[in-house]
Amino acid sequence: MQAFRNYLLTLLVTSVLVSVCVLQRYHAAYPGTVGPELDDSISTQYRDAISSQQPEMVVLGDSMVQENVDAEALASRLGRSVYSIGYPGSSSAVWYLIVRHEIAGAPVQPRTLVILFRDTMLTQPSHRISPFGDQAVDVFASMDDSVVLERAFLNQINPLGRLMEAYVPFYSSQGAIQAEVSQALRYGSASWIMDCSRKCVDDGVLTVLGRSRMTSETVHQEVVSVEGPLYSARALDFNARLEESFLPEIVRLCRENNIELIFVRSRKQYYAGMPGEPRGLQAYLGALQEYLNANGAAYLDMNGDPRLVPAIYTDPIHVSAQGRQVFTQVLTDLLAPLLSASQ
Amino acid sequence: MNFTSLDFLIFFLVVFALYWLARERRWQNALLLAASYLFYGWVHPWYALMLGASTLADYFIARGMTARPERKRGLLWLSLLINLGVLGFFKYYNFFGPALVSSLNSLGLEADPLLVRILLPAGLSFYTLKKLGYILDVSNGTLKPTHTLLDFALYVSFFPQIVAGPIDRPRSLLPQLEATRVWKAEYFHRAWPLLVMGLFKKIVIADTISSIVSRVFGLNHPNLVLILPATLGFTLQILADFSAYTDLSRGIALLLGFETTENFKNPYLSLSPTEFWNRWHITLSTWLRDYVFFPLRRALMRSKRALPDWVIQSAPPLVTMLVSGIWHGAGWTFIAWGGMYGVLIVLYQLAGLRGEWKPQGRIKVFFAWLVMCTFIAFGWLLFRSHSLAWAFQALFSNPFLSTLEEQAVGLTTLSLTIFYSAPLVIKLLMDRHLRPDSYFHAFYYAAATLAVIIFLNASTSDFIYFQF
Repeated sequence: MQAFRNYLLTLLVTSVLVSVCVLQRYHAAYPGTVGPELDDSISTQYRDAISSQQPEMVVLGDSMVQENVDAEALASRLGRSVYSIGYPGSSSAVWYLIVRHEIAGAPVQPRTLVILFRDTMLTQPSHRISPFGDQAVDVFASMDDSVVLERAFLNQINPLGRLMEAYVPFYSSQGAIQAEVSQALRYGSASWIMDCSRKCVDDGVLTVLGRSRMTSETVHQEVVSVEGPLYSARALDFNARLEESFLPEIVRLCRENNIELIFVRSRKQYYAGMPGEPRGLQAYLGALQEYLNANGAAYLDMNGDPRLVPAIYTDPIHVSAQGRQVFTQVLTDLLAPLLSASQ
Repeated sequence: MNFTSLDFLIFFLVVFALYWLARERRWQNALLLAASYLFYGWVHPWYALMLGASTLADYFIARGMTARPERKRGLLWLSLLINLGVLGFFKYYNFFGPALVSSLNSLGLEADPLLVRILLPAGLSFYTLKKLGYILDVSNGTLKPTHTLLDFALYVSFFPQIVAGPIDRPRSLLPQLEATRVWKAEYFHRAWPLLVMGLFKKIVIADTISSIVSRVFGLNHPNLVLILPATLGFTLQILADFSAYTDLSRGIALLLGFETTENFKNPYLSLSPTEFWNRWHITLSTWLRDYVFFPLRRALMRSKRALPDWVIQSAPPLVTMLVSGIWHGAGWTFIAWGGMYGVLIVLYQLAGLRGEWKPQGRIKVFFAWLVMCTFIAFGWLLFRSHSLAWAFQALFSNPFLSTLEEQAVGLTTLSLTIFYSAPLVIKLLMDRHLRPDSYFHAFYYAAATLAVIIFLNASTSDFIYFQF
């Protein structure tokens, strides 16, 4: 009893002291705001590129676009200028922000937008988003992106988490504290012992522990762990997830700006943690296709193509350099009839 | 359901409240059984179905052993066949999976490697040993089978233990299930330090260090500069992770009025391999000792053909440690890991350094500890590696050919390992030199609680031992 009483008392005192220190150090307000604070500094890198290059078509997606799609080959085969935006680690929240600020917000907009996605990504607003803040969202969001705050962040914080974010400063500042501890350990020893600068350490981590140096099993497991939430029973319920997702917003923005919108479901080699295609996925895709057709957007699927064999993949999502040509050709063959029909 | 998830917190609070409100033992056990099956089948309901079927089989086999003693032997074999068959199928199917894929490919059939991958149900290895322990005890006549299916089913599926132990023996847990339990404040006072330490070790230490350790162990061709610090990191990670699970399991069981067995007693302070296995995963070690080591030694000693003494002395530890390796996983790395300990135990025995051996003098103790620590770390390198070739290639690479970037990553890994092992060393010193109700302890637990809140994340990774 005495031990527990001592513990409670000490916990109370240290909590107050640590809270005061955290509030001072990170200039945080008390009670804090729930979710990350968005500022008005916003990237214009893609908008500038689109303005200067004036492409007829933009291909948007995550690292799959960056690594699997050869934009130049796609452009020459389709006879259209193509600009590709493959933002590694991104998902529908970031895609919505890019569509809003960089594509629909560009002075000259592309005629067609192709979004390359996997399975339920379009209706998973917080997929790949940390509830404590996301670097990609910070880059593309402005202060008036409350819809991102609500759907990508606040929706995934439970009531207890909300309370703690508001009233426990060392909980709401956990991202900053963890980063500070990690940086001190990462950079401190390297600079002290080896005279290795921050850049030297960061480059080291990127090159030495990069995906290209990992075993295929490791990459596979990482993909499985990231993609697992895409196949939960909740994620596969299209109608329940639609309204809280960014899909209606993306469709609306493209319609308002007369941008032809095409969604292409990419082929993935293995399904996260399950022996075959998850049960319920086909029903989900049917509902998605129906929704897109009803709202003036097109839906294409790379999954039926026999050319996308396992041999061209380096992991469940990405293809090899050789596979890139095959992947691009499959994408071209899917897009070509649709584009010629719309011309 | 993971002990560190919000789902589990809500689940446990509901179970805890209903459990102590129920008061009557039978209702309490029924509630715990329902909760255990819900817990176990949370992600994959078929896990619970399989558990239920195998529990029923062993319950009736044990009853049959007492009802028809003349059939005891046959029934024992039946139980061994069912339990080891199921365990072997799920555990070793993947071992032969790649061979199956290449055979299919050679026949012109395209086989997706994941299609031939059977997912090992979490905790199967643990509850199989629990059931086997029960059947073997009943078969030996050292335990009377329980007449209540409810109690037996709960003994097997008890949710604080089902996924990763401790592998409590029927003689220790069944009487507690059969006894009336009334809430005592003592349960809480003994449980809270275990819960705080369990959360701290898992969330702050194991999960943090695992991020860099798993990257290095995921490399195609790491070199010595990378693998040595990562091995030390994994040595810390596996202790923190597994002992965290045990602490949480014991703390949760205590809150329900159960005393479960301690699994770790500062294993990295061991001076010999035998001592290590007396301190590491104690419930597995004692299980293997009682059901593999002793029976094998007895059989060898009573063998009709007089066997040389070295065979009688060497074979039991070697076989027991190989069984331990195979139990941990299907792969040559696990077999080598178990085999290494078997060989070490035999070598220490030959050198006259048996389990009770203690060197005289601090310098000798230090060197004995250093040697054992090196073996332990080397063992973890084998355990964590993809293959033996991978491990030896990394170990025998030339460290002088490493790049500055690799040295920086190696140093970072080492810094993280030292930093995150410090709290465990401090705790060890405090436990040795200070009273448990001292303010230092209170401050330590308070700091650990704050650290848990700071490191609390939405996505806590699974405990390592879930996969065994």
